[in-house]
Amino acid sequence: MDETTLRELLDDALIHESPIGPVAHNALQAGIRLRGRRRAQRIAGSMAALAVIAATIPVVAQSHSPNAVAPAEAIMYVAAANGVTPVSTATNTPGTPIKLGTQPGSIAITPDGKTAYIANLSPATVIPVSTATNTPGKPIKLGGGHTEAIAIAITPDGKTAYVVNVLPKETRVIPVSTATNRPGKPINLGGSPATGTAAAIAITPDGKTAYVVSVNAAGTTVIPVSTATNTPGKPIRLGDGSATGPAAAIAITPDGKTAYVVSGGAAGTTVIPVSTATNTPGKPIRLGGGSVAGDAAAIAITPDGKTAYVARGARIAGSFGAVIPVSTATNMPGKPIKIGRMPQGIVITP
Amino acid sequence: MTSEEEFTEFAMATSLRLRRTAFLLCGDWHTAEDLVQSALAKVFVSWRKIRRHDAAYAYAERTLLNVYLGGRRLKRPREILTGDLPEDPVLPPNLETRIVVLDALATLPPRARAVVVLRYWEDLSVDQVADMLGCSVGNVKSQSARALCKLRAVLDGTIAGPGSPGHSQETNHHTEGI
Repeated sequence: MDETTLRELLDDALIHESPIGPVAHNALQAGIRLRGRRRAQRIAGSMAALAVIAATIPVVAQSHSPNAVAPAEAIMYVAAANGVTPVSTATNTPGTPIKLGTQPGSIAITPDGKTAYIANLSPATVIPVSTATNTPGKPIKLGGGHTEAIAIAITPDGKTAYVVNVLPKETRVIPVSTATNRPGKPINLGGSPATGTAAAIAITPDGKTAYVVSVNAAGTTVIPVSTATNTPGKPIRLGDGSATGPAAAIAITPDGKTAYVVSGGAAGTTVIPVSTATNTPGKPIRLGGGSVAGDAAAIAITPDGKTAYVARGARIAGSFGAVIPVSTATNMPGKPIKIGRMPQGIVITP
Repeated sequence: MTSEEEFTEFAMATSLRLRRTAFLLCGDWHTAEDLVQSALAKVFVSWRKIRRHDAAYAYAERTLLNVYLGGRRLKRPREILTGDLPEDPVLPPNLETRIVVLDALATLPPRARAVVVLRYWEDLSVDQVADMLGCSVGNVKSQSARALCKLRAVLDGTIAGPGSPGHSQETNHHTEGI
């Protein structure tokens, strides 16, 4: 059977065709309904979008095994629309969701693994959750008005949680004592245009500096904050508005020498290495092709410090989000790994 | 023209052809119509984005394939078994060929069937098929080779060759290796 024969046979199969129904009309009606549903989902999704950021803790195997030193398994806390869900990384199965009644935006876990601090977008609070019992404590209020707690990081000594609080006209960082769960005096990072639509925070391994990323239409700025004095340093400008977008992430290498700052938007996803010694930005690493890149960005660095994994979203339906490994030695991106369309977070097991 | 009118015009113009593709994929006109309707509904959702490009039909066809392959994943047997056979209308000349070809197509797994339909009925190139199915060119080639092999095995001896069996009695004798 040659190809021509097959073509004719396929044509033969089509004879005896019945008249077509009102497909175009029905499709339009179904399409309008579908579009309405998608819009509703998108609105719900965008609220949860910031929230799907995960963190891992090594669960010290008190009950699982007599060896209490080695982490037996890692539990990942994933923020969802209405709370946080613990997920076992050994089995990749979710546990019982912890209902908070808020919109979680970011999670940080104390170095001893005992408490997860959840920063909430709305209302702007921080809720401590005991990882042993998965029960939430009393919410820590950050201040009135229309504010959002966008990002949170905890110092390596576990004493202070730094919360990035975005107000309509300024961004501030609020230190929260983990001993008393009380907020300290806000550290003001300046008014518009230094503030933005997205923010991220990371603390150096020596605990001396918190780097706060702020992204807005005017550009991406990183502000070093001294944790000893709780005062902001000179802002580090990373680029103009065209290179940046409404997504931000930051990770610091385990040796503390470089902070990798990710910003993502319509113009693409860019990673800029910033030297923590001199607070100067290096050459940008461009990862995303123009309008294909989307509003999602996240970064995690492997414990050996050799590779930074950057997740970026895809703006166009049908294209893929990707995780791109970046060598920290050469600052060269590797081959992208295709994943779902809008990755919201990335973490690496300890 | 509003985008709804524009879409309806597009849907009217393409639904027949899409339904033929869908029919060759699923082997049943009613299911084919359902597949086309679901695919076009999805096309409407993204219509603003698509209409600017020339590739609206390709997009619709790709969506159709996704709907077909996606549905197959959920439930395999879609045919309803019935004891009562419908009254057959007067048989058109090629009815037998039609049934044999559809039966042969039905022996193929969904993706292989899609490859055959796209390559030999839609006359798409190997590259285009690979793009449409989101797989490699090599994969399309091996899928179609395997599918053709299987079709040959099933069709061999059953069908004489192209055209209706009625007036091809003579060609029956020298069918070149189906």
